[in-house]
Amino acid sequence: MDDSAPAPRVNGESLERFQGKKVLVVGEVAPVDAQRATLKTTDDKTITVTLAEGGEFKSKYIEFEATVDGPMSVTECSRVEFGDDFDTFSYGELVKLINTKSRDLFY
Amino acid sequence: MYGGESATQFAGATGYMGEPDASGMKPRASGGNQPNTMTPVTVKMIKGALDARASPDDEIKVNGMAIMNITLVGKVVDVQTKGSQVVYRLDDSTGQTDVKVWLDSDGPVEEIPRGAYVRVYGTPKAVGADQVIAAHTTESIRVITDFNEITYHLLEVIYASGYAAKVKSGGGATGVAPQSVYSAVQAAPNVAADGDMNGSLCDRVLFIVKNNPNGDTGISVLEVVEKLGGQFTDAAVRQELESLSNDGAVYTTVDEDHYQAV
Repeated sequence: MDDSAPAPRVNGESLERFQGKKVLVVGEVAPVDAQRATLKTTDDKTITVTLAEGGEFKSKYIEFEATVDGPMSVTECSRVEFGDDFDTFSYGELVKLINTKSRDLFY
Repeated sequence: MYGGESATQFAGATGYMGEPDASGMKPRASGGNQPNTMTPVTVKMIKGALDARASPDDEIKVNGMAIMNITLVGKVVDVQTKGSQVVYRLDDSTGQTDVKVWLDSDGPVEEIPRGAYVRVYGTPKAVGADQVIAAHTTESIRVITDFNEITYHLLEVIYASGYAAKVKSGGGATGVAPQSVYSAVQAAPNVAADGDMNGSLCDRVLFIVKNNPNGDTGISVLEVVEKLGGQFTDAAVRQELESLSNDGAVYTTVDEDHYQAV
C-alpha cells in the first residue's frame, strides 16, 4: 500500500492549488483538435486539456488523470470515459467535501 | 451536518455502520470480538490504520472503530497472475493498494483489464511490510459500469466517517456505546441541550419525549404541543410522533396519546 502520491479529485476552482501535481478532474468534454480539448468541470469552469491519447471521445463525460500546468490548464496522463449519464451535481458536491472538511480521508 | 433522521435510516438499511443498531439491539461487544461490519474506506484510511498499529495482532481501527471487512472503489492500474491468485494493483486517487484474489480450483477467472474501475470487498492484511487487501471471493471484485458508483462510494466513505465520529462523541465520554442511534444523535454536539430551538421538529419532539418527567406513563401529545410553545399544530406533532414510533424511537404507553422514548 502506498499513499505517498495521491491524485486528488479536484474541480476547476481548486485546480490552482495543485500546480505541477497529478489530479483527477471530471467534466463534460468538448474536442478542439487532436492535441487539445476543453472540459467543463462540475463547478462550471472551463479548463483546457492537452491530450495524450488523441482527440476522439466516445462519451460526454470524461475523467482525466492529469498534471496541472496552470490555474485553467492540465496535461492528460490517462482518461476514463464516464459515459453520457453521470450525475455531475452529486460529484461536484463530493469534490467540494474532498477538498474542504473531509480532506483528511483523501489526501 | 447530516440529519439525524436520515442518518438512522441509512445506517439501518445498509448495515455498514457497525456498533449501534437502528433496531435498538445491543451493540456488539467491543474488544474481543471482531466487528462483523463492512466499512467503506479509501486506501489512505486503510494504510493509516495499518500503520497505526503497534503490533500486527492489534485490531485495525478506522474512524476509531475496529474494522474487519472493507469495501473500496478504484481503478485497476496493474494485473499479475501468480499461480492460484491474481493480484490487482488498484488506484483510488488517495493511494494504491494490491488486491489479492484467490482463484477457484474450477478454472480460470477472466482477468479485469487495466484502466477499469472496480468495486472490491475484502479484508486488509499485513504480512511484514506487505499490506494488501484480500478479496473475499472471486466475485468480490467487480467492474463498475455506472460511474456514479464512484461518487456514491466516496460519499459513503465521508458519511460513515462522520457517523462514526458522532457515535464516538456520544458514547466516548462515558466509555459506553450508545444503545441506539437516536441517543447518539441526541448526544451529538449539533443538537443543543436546551431543547434545540433551531433543530427540526423531529429532533425537538424526540428531545421532549426523552426528557419527560412523567416516568413510565410517558408524555401526552398535548404536553408535547405545549412544550413546543404552540408553534406546531396538534396534528403536526402527532404525525411526527407516529413517524418516530414507526422508526422505533418512541412507543405508545397507556393509550395512543401518550408516548415514551425507547
